[in-house]
Amino acid sequence: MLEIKNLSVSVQNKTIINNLNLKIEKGKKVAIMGPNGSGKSTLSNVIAGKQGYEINEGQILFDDVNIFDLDPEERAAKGIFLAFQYPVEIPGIANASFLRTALNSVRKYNGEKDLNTREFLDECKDLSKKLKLDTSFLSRDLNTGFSGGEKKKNEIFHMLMMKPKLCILDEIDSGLDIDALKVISNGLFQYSNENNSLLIITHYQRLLDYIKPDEVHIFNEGNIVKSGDYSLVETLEEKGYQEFI
Amino acid sequence: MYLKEYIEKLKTGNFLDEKKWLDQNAILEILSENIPDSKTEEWKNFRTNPIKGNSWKILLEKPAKDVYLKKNYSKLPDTLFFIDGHYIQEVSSLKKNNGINIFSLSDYICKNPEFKNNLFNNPSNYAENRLSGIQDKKPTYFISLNSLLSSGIVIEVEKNKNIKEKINIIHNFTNMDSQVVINPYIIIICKEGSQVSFQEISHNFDLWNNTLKEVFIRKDSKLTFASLQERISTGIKTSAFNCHIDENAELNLKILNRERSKEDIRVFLNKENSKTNISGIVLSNNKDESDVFCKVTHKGKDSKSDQKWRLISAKTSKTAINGKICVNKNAKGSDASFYSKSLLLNRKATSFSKPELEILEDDVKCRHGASFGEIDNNILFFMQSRGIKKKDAIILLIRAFINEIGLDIDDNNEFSKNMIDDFFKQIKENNNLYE
Repeated sequence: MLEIKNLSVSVQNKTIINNLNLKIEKGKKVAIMGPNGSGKSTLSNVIAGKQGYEINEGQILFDDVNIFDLDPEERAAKGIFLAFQYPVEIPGIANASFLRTALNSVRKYNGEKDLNTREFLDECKDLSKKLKLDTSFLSRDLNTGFSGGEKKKNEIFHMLMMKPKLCILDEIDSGLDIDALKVISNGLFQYSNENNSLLIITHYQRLLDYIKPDEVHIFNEGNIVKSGDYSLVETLEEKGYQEFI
Repeated sequence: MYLKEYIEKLKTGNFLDEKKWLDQNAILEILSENIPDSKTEEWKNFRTNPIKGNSWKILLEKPAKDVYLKKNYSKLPDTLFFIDGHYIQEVSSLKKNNGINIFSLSDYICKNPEFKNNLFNNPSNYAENRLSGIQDKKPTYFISLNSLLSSGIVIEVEKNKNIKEKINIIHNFTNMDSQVVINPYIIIICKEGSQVSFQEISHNFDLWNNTLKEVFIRKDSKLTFASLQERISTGIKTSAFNCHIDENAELNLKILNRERSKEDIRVFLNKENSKTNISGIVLSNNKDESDVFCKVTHKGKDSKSDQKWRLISAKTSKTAINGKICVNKNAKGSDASFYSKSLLLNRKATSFSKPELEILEDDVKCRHGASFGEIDNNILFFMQSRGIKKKDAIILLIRAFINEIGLDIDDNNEFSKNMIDDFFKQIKENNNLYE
């Protein structure tokens, strides 16, 4: 589904990602762990198409198409979703209204009709119950006044509504209490199937305990320094990053 | 007739018999002075050169019937039509006996002689202590001009009437001569215990529109007034809104201003528990200016005021708000706030905000603040990453910026929405919507 080939990225002449190769197959859950400043968030931003990065070399293929020339909205329309580490607040736009605009925009790009408003709202309400979110959050301004946990749940809510092919979770578990983590994990379980893929960027074991990734990569100085299966998480928890970098 | 010629004739003749409440000599003296320019504090953000550099013609009579009857005016109910600044009853649709009475100002003064003491009649008396206590008469040039040239219309809301229907005031223009100055003059009197909502819509024009509204909200009454200005292509607008509020009375004022306009708002909270909420949107495009001076004066105890402004400047335009709160002696318990936010859509666009407090009494609460910013690129990326195109995301963000204060006086208001959409359409035409 996603293939990164020899990717090198820099910001203001400082190399952040250095000749990275990574492949995420359809139906797989892949985790990337690494110390602060190792380039994990840069990787997620570059895949999603954020401006401000210099791509020095390499390719990112999504469904065998190089996506470098695509704007972020075109990447989203093709099925890439980035759940933000720090979801932004937008006063003046209701959460549900924003989401409907986003979904209709993606549908328009893919030549589909606009959503039926009734069906959209019913789905929103069902899903918000599952995520233990009060339905009033649909009418509240996007992320405005939301707690940290609510913002992260809202990211998962958007993800489940948008049904992407590839979901990149950038530290979705940071700042969550145990109950919120369970709710988010359940949401990810609900999303995950053989037709989509997850790229989980995290510092902690606890989310991965729920998700049980198929592959785990340890990231340092913009490249993968160690790969393995879930047992690598346990080793890392025991020995720390120093063992690998 | 040209304005200069008319003023010269007034100086020698006696054309003003019908306006005995005006201090004619004082007004003529003010009009002889120069039009204010950027050296005057309240006018430093609005270029008056286009006004100064023109030989203006005046329209003293209503437009001819065959001119305005040819046009198809909107079939809105409960509407008062002003054409070229004159109230035209024939095309208006206000229901009779609904609690609103319309008079010419002369007739109203004949019936209520004491009322003339409330009105603008002398620039020196009307001008208040302005910034730093300097008596600055210059802004009253425009009010004087209006008062001199316009016959004035009084809209009176009857005592204890709660008028459910929104009343529309529509300004249309038939005169295509861009050298003409017109002077709509509207006086609104909300008598004790009344409640009413007005929506004033000013359509596009190519001339100089110099308006004056004087509003009196009597004890226990409530007025909602939305003033919406359509895009001004080549004309110029100078307008004054002066409002006097009595005990337990309230003004909700909503303003949508466009480029090429200068608005001067003065609200006087004269009595105990008087209250005003002012929300305004100021939009400017191309290389034009939109400037507002808004002063709220607390005179009564426990009076409350709240001002919220949103300013958006596109291309190389300028928006400005000078918001002043003045709490007079004896206005204990007053509560006042002013907040403005400016959004700049272009590196060459500018915005000016000057919150000011002048507090002459203890035991009052006053807050003020102003912020300026561009569209946040992180927010844009967030929206794009959810599938929303960059241009649409920018429009959505601007709309959100405006929605924070709201303009509609009811839920089904298409006018303000259409006017804001028109601004979006205009700025969208620019390929570099946001730079």
